[in-house]
Amino acid sequence: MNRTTANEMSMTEAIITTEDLTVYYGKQRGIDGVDLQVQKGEVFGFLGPNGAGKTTTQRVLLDLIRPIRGRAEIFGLDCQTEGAAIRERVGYLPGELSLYENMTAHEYFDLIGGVRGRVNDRAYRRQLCEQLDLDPTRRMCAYSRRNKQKVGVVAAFLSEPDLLILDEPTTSLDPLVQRRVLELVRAVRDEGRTVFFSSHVLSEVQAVCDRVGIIREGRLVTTERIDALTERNFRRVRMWFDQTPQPDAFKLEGVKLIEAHENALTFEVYDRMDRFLRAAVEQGLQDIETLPVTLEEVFLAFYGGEE
Amino acid sequence: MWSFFLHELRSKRGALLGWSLGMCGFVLLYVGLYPSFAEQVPGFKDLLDLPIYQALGVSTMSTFPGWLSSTVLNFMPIIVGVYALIAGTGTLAGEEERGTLENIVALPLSRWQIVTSKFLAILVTLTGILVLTALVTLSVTAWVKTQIDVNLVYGAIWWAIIAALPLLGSLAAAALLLGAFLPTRGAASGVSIFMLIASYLSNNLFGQIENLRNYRFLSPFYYFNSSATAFTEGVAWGDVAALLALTLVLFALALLSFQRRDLMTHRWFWDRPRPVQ
Repeated sequence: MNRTTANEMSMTEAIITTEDLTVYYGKQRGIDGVDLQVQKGEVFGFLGPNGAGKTTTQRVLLDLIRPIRGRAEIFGLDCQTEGAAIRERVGYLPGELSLYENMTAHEYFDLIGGVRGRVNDRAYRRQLCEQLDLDPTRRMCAYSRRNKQKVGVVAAFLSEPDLLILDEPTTSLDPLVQRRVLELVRAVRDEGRTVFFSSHVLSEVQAVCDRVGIIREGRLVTTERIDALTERNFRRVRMWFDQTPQPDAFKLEGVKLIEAHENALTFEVYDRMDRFLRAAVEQGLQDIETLPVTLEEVFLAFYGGEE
Repeated sequence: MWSFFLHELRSKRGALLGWSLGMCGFVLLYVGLYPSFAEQVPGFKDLLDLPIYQALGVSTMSTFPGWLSSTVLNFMPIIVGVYALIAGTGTLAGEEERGTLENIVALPLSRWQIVTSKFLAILVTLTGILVLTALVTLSVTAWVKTQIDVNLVYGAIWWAIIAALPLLGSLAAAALLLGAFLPTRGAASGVSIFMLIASYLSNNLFGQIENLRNYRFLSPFYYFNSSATAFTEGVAWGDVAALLALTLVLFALALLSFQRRDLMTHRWFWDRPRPVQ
């Protein structure tokens, strides 16, 4: 299903709205003036480095903490005064998940289901556990961090909520299970439900999100469609040459030389690779390595001067 | 709310069993040994005049009712009171510190429902501990009656022990309030244990000091009869009402404090986000 068009019909209704949302812990900034809209049926990626304000924003949405200024609404209901009604339709996975060590996962799901009034929905529970390869009969204290994260994921998805708020959902999961979690997120979107997906892992945000909001130092820097963000992304490559190359040969649009060391050069490429690679081959390209680009670097590259 | 209350109740099964067994052991040890000590009790009289025993509320042991009140009625509230404080501070501050409270507050429950369910579960657990303590006390008393001549009505023993519930409830409510207000469970536990010991000792000590005698009413222990007269005078409903009123006020303050507070540990109230004006 084409993710940019599949939900266009339903993406006219705002599920989450915040206006001038501001939280300070004493003199310490939490978030400052966050204006945000998440539409029905989209996966909204909430990006930012640790400490940027992602978790604070989510905690305000769930009424775990209260803002000093501004307002937040979910489903058109006020997060502070109508929190319980909102949370009936919200599944939540916190970033730092703590579970009752003496309970089994089954007992924990019973608790969640009981409070939500969906205690008998065992089939979907079993399906989720199988998908994530989780044995729910063991006590939490016997689980590894990885399995505890799976319990958190199942608990969030369990009641098939209209809105999922997920804070770093793939943390500590192995790559196979990470992929299954992302599949679950896509399935939720395909059903017309909404996901608020907080992460600092750019690749998984790119993989599942329709739009992203980027938060830095408590301020929402931008909200963009994911394809727009991807276009603005860059790659960093290191190349080794048979002999010391001519740096002038790489004076191309969208190519930036950031380090030169004898016959090894490192570039940041913001444009198409074809002309750049041709120039490298002409200079006697011997080997090439793509270096990882962190989200922080993307921030610095695109938003460094926007203080 | 009902299913959450049942969850809270289930989570206290271990505490109910452990504290009940502890109290039963205490009763068996002290009350069960009475027939052996009965002949030596007159020799304790000089000992009981010592201020340390006065401070601990131990006044008479020359009769079985005196022995029973000086041991069970006197020490039971402070022993079970420790559990009331542990449970009270663990309810909000403890769960918040472990991080599990975030999962609960994110469920479709109002905060008053969370606090009320948790407090009711503590009260039920305290009731269970008292009931088992009373039943064991009655059983041991029945055995003591076969050994020596004891003129004590079972119903009087039962009500004298169960009458500790309002006192224990007020202690749990005070701990709940401290847990809702102070930033860590450690701070809440420290303050509440200090208050428990201070109020227990002050109730007994103030009674020995002429100038302070009129201030005994400040201690919640003042409203629980731990002397042998508890077996003859019956339940003092005025005192029960005073403790229930105290419990309700403390609980309401805890509710208000938790209703307004943010979920985060290690932050004093001046460091917490303030609500929108």
